Amino acid sequence: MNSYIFETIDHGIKFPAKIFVTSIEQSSYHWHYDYELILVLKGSLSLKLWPDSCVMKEGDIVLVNSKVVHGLSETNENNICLIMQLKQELFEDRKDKNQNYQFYLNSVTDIVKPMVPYETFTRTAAEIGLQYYENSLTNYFRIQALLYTLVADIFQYTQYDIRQYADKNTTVEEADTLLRIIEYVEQNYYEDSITDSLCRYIGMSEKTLYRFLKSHTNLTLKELVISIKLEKTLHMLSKTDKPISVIAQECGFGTDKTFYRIFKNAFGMTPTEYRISGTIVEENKQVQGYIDYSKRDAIRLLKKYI
Amino acid sequence: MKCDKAYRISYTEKAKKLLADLNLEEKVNLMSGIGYYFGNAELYQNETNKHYNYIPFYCGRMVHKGIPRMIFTDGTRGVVIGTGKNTCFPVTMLRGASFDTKLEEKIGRAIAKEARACSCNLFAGICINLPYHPGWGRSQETYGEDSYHIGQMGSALVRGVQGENVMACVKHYAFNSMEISRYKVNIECDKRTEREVYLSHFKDCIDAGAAVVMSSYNLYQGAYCGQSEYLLNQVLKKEWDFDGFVMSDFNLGIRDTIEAANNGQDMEMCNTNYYGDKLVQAVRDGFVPMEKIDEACLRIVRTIIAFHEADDKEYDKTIRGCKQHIRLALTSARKGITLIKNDKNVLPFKKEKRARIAVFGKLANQDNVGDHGSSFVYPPYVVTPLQGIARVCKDAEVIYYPGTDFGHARNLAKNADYTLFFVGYDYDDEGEHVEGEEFSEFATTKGGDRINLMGLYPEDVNLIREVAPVNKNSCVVLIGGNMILIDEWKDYVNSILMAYYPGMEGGTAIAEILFGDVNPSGKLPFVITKSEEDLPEINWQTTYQYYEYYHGYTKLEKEEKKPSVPFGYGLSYTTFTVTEPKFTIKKKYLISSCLIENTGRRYGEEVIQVYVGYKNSSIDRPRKELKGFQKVGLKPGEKKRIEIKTPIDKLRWYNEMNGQWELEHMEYEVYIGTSSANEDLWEDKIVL
Repeated sequence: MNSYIFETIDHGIKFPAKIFVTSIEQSSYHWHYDYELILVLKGSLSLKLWPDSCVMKEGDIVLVNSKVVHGLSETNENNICLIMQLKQELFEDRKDKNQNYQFYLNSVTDIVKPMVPYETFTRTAAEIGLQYYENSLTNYFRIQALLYTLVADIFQYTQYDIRQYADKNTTVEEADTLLRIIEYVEQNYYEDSITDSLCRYIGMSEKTLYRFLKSHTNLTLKELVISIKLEKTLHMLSKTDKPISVIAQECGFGTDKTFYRIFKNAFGMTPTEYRISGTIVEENKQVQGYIDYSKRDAIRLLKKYI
Repeated sequence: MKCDKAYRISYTEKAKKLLADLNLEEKVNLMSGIGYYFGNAELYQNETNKHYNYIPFYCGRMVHKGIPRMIFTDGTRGVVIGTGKNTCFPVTMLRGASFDTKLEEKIGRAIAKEARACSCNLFAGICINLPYHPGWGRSQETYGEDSYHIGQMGSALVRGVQGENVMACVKHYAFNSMEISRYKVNIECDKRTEREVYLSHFKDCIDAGAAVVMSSYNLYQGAYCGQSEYLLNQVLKKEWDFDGFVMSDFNLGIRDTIEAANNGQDMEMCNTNYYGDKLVQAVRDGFVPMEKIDEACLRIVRTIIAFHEADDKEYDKTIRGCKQHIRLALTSARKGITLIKNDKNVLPFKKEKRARIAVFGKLANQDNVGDHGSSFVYPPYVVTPLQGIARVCKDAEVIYYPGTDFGHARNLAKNADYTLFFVGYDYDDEGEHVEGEEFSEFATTKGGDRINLMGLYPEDVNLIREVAPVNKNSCVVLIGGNMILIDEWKDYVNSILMAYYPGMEGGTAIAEILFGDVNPSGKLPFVITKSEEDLPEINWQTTYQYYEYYHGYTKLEKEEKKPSVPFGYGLSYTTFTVTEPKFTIKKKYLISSCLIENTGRRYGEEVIQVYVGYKNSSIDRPRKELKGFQKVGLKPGEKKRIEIKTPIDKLRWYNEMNGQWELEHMEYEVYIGTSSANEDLWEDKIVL
């Protein structure tokens, strides 16, 4: 179901980043070390940054911070996005490895504004995207230069917080553990006794599990389960004709009433409204055809930002 | 302390014998600093950071004649030699706030051990200048604003350092309380101010046995202190009967060969500019009598050999920055950091699991151990406040934001359980200023005095005013070397902690206090005035400054002005009651006693303070002055009787008409309590 794999982000040998242009269908809530820069080149994309969500339109740029739980899904129009997965090391303070930077770069919500126009970032991102299509030694150095320019711009021109951790940052094993937890919940979300079975599966006490989840995702297990359940219902509501009460049952919400309440809380609309509108945010409802894009299209789209 | 004055004097004959074997050039060599000491390769072989004092300075090339070198390390918050090895203690001002002489003595021992592990036999870190005005950029290097208090704390450091048979060098003699004009400013004051306010603590440290004195750069009554007949020969050596030696402050501490040598300057440091060949010539030409050279050399040699022969212990390099010393640095920070406001007992914050802590202010995320001048110690690590908080509150979410965008800051504060602001200064705002000087190549920071900066920067004031009211669990942590004005923002925040520059483990101590692991017990060693107008007038960029008799709390009390926070004030998480005050005269002492009880629910430490007032005096004297203090620790419910001894001599005044210290025979007010504020003191009368 994921149109690209987050979990095994491969930066290749050349760059401390993975850069690609893709069309995103859906990617449920997940989390990784990399910072992820998304630039929508065409269409629109629904981005969920727990607990909020927003719709990115053409030209929007968002930096998803390291270790932030997020999900992506297409809206009723298809999309083409430039995705840059930037290694955490790019943003590391050499002096204190226990610090994690959270940058505010989101042209959609635009709550904490950068000190320069968003174009500063989209231009550099697009340039990187373009360079990526060439494979000469010059490009190799140019991309490195542009990447560091981008990182420098992010440090210089965005507001950021620092999360300070006591000792070592989360280890690789911990990341694996988190992915195993999410995977398990995705497969067993309907179970009543999921807490017990998950604790057994992962080998943690309930308390440890709670702390672990909270510190890495800021979610409790209950919240995680609900978010995954809701994810399923969104899919079923838009892609199947199943009655809402059946969906509520299948996704493990018990009663319809509970389902309506939780759904409304999460998305600000009822399941029925969602089914009719086809999106959680009001959008151009005209269903467009699948956008097939070629390298040529991608280059054309990227050039618009330079 | 083995190396006391009597012991040192016992080396007179031996020193004379050694000197008899030396010619003039050789004697002058003992008086002329040489620069860096490359004797211990281990100290500099792998050193990439060649800072000002990365290896010791030294004086004396007469080892083959049986006279060891004087090997010098700077201070004041530890041993400056090397990088990444030595313990960086909190600055002297914080240690002054501990009011804990026993602790200061321990710190002195630890510093001396590290000095010896660095091949040094002299620690030039007993800085006891009294800040006339709290804007003095290096006031972090001294203990506070009160002469008696500085004298007691400085003496404790002398005892500690010399307890490990390292020469303690007391500096900067004298009146060195202005930074940017220090090479040119001529200080004047009347005789009572001189003796009672600016020299009495120097006398205390000499009486405690300090072996070495460093003269200052500035002038006093028109003479450079490094070549002042009055200060060196007359007061220090004659009146105070000082047996040790004097060295000059570095490179500009002497301006004239003949004047310096004749007026009692024993050693030129750290390089030879005016001594050496010039001094040899001056003796040959008859401008400097040979006896002056012999006297200086006797003082130098006698002192050095006395210390050299006091023990034959080896101090291993592993002692530098060892666990016990770092632990001591942490203890010191815990006992000095001062809680000055705590409305509704908002502190200590609870260490709840998953608490969200919003931290503002760039000083939270900065290694900030104080001045980057000659006192800069280079420790293996520094715990920033932010790191300290994350470590103390392991399960909390610690979010740091410098605070540029107030809207964002308010949002973070609103969603946080606790809001902290780290504001104040760093080495660019205050500290040693070396522009255009010998060591200016080492200067990476501005330093200097706090000209027009007695409060916080306007952006920090605005940050506090805009963001703090959003969250009632708020605390402002002040970082700085002396008083910071707080009145323009103090009502916007529920608690205020003065953290000074708390050393390499400072971040840990701050967090432990904020989150209740440690009960604060520091007391302000200075008064916080309500406004800048309450401070003495001063001109920082000048060639002349007059020091008035009154400054600090004595000035405020004399002018009947209320302070914002009184001298000697500091809160605790427990409560203490002081009862049964009693004052008696026993022989040559005033004995002040009281019963103190911990009436709260946790262990705490309190500083019992004794003040003496002179309402009946026929001369102009302060309303009251600190004349005794003692730190005491009490378990919940525990009671202790405290007895504080003050020599009656300490109540005398200096009569400039006859040059005598005199005791007024009259009724004195005597006070005992927990701060200098009258509401915190019991008052009684004694007749002398």
